[in-house]
Amino acid sequence: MKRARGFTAIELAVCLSISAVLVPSVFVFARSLESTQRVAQWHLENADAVQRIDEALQRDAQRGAMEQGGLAWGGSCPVRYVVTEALALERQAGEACGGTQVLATGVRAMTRVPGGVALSFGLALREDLLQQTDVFFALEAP
Amino acid sequence: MKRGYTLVEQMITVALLGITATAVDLISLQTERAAQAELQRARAGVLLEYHARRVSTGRPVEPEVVGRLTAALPEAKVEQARDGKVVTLTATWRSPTGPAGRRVLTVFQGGGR
Repeated sequence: MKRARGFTAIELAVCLSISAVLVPSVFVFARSLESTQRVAQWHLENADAVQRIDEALQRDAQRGAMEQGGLAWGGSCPVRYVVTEALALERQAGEACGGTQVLATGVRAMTRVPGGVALSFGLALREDLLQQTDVFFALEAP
Repeated sequence: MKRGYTLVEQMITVALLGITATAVDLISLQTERAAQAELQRARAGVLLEYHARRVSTGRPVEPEVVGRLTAALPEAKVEQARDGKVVTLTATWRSPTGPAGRRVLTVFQGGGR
């Protein structure tokens, strides 16, 4: 007797049903893993940036009074802190005063608040999902 | 010869895949928590540096500033231990990884740390 080749309709239906459950699950799992890793990487980068920013701010704060309400110091070596359109926090100064340095990336805002400076780091996980964390730096005149 | 897999073989394969996926997920979550703990450690560093500057200059800490510095450090507190001109500052806080986070900074009153 000649053996029938191929699959029956039931076998195909079972196979398709299992795929319909497994494929989206794997996709969701992979996306979740990816975003967890991105968030972990982001926390580590922020941890480095916090130390760098605090050192730079304290060094500059020792040089004189900050301009009223701003994030700049005048005098012989003018320095200012700027959040660029690319969301990088830059310390801008002349070459003799360290030049322009990128202190952090993914900075959404840097605002002057009583007693210091508040910095907001953001990570866009998806178009509609933004992870955000705020860090405060105490600043005082010398 | 009979071809294909038995139901038990398939169940074992699916179970192994499930266990592997769960393990990967747990490791990934732990990595995220460890990274979060590292950020808190950096925040604690900023808090300790603030206390150190205040100890060096002999000025009291401002509660409002300390409140802002500890806003993202749950149950954070800073203890001072004085030994002559040497002040040891210890910051502790509740860490996302489980055991309490702890960071120490030694300050020499009158300059240096």
